[in-house]
Amino acid sequence: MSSSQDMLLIVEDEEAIGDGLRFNFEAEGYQVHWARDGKEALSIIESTHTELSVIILDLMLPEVDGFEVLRRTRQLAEQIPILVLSAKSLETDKVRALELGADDYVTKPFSLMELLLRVRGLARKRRWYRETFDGEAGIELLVGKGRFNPKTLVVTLPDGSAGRASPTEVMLAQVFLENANKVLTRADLLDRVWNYDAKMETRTVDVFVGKLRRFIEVNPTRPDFLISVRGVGYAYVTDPGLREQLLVPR
Amino acid sequence: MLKIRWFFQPVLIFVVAQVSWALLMFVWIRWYLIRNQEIDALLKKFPLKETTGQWVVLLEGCLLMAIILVGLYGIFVSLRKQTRLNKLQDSILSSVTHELKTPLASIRLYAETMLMRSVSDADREKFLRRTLTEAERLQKLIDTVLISARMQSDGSIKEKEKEKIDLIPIVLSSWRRTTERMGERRQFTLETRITTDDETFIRACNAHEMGIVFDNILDNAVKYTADAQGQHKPGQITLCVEASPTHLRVKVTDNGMGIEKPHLKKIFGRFYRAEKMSILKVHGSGLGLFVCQTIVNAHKGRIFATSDGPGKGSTFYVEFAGHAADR
Repeated sequence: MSSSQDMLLIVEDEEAIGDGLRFNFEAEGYQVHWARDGKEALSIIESTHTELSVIILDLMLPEVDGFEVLRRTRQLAEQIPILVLSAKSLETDKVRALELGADDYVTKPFSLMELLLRVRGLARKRRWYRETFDGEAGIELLVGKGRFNPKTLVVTLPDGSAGRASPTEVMLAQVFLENANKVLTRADLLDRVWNYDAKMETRTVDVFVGKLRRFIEVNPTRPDFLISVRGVGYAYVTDPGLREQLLVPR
Repeated sequence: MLKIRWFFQPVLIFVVAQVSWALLMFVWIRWYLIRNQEIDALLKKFPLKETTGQWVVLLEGCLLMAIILVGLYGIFVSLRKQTRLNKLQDSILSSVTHELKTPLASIRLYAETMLMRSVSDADREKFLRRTLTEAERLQKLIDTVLISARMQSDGSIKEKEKEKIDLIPIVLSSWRRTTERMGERRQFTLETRITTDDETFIRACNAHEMGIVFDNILDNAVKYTADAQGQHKPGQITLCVEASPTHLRVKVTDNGMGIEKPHLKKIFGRFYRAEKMSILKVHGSGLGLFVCQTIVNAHKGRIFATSDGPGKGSTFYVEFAGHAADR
């Protein structure tokens, strides 16, 4: 069962799927809002974004499409985890949604059990983030050549300019920082950042590591800190000896 | 890598080939004209048997070159057309796949819900009805795709699959299905003007396929009109069935988003929606109206649309003439 405060927004124009999801999430104890088009979704997000725990977002929507909802929601509220639930299964759609700020991507038809678990993970992450970083304005995370402020979500990039990160990106940065000079598998990262079971799809991790590299590397295409370990996962490396060892096959 | 691929673009190959031929011709002719007098003088010194032959050779060369140029152009045009067709087919495939996944997702969702939770009798019935509706939707879509594929391979509905049947109940049952499903979200009006003796209009036709035609047209009227949810006023859809001994006309009028004049015929094309899909953001396989037209044509009927323009609604007509032989 979910915590009674968790408020969920379902954006879905298909009557059958929207109503089915609402039934299930209400049974899990969530307070559910259901928007049937992009416009309605944006107006609900505008009025409730401080309370929303998770958004489940379809992409093919009337009025304003899902990508646009995603983009505008990220301008309005970076902190709400967004799970995209769409029949679009092309790699390019997935990467585009994740790049625009989605935290996760599930394709239709989906397993109900898996969806419930993923949403529960995202809601837990949202709560944990709120509790951990609220009030701690001053502490910054120095990862690679980037500096993250977890409360304001402002990142200072290696060239000195400022950018904005999402909570998922900050959490990923923190997990790497805590495990410096250790190789983390994609499953480890899914478990620690997304609160997921290891069996789930791992493309998400790769997209997010790519985003993180843009924040912390001088040259994101030839990373010095976040190094891919072929067939295993990624390592955040600060030890020059280990870096040389890992970079040899490159 | 990208640069090499760009280099071998058909357009570039075509342009380079054309320029090469044209340049070669230019150089040859210029050379001949400049050296003409020298060649003539040389020929006078060493006379050959037929000096006029040179002109014939040059002319022949020019003609052959022209043929090659035209041929190249023809191949280029047909290649471009083929590429465009392939792209459209891909986009149809992806929109059909998308449409197949949505009802499948609902069916799976409700089945899992009922296995996972204890649901009340009323909810159970609602969920099962939804599952059934979605299964029907899936079936209809698969039928549409199959008919469309069959039309492409052999062109028509087999005569033996037709039987003499009353068309009016087929129209009305499509109407009933649509109003049952969408009754609360659109305003529906039915008008009938039936002046045949026994209130029937009997024709040799394939009942299942005629059902697909009327389902599709009514579905479209629903898709392209406003939903009663939120602040919108519900869209209005009117079905008018006129039947006389010589004529059947089914007319579906809506007050939805309408159609631009130049598109009134194109909407029946196989690829129309695929090209417009990203703009309209309305679900659909992009095959519906194409299949409608193919079926109606195979039954020697007529299907067409009228509209006063974008935002002014549209009207779809399906017409059949009564044949004495069919009655």
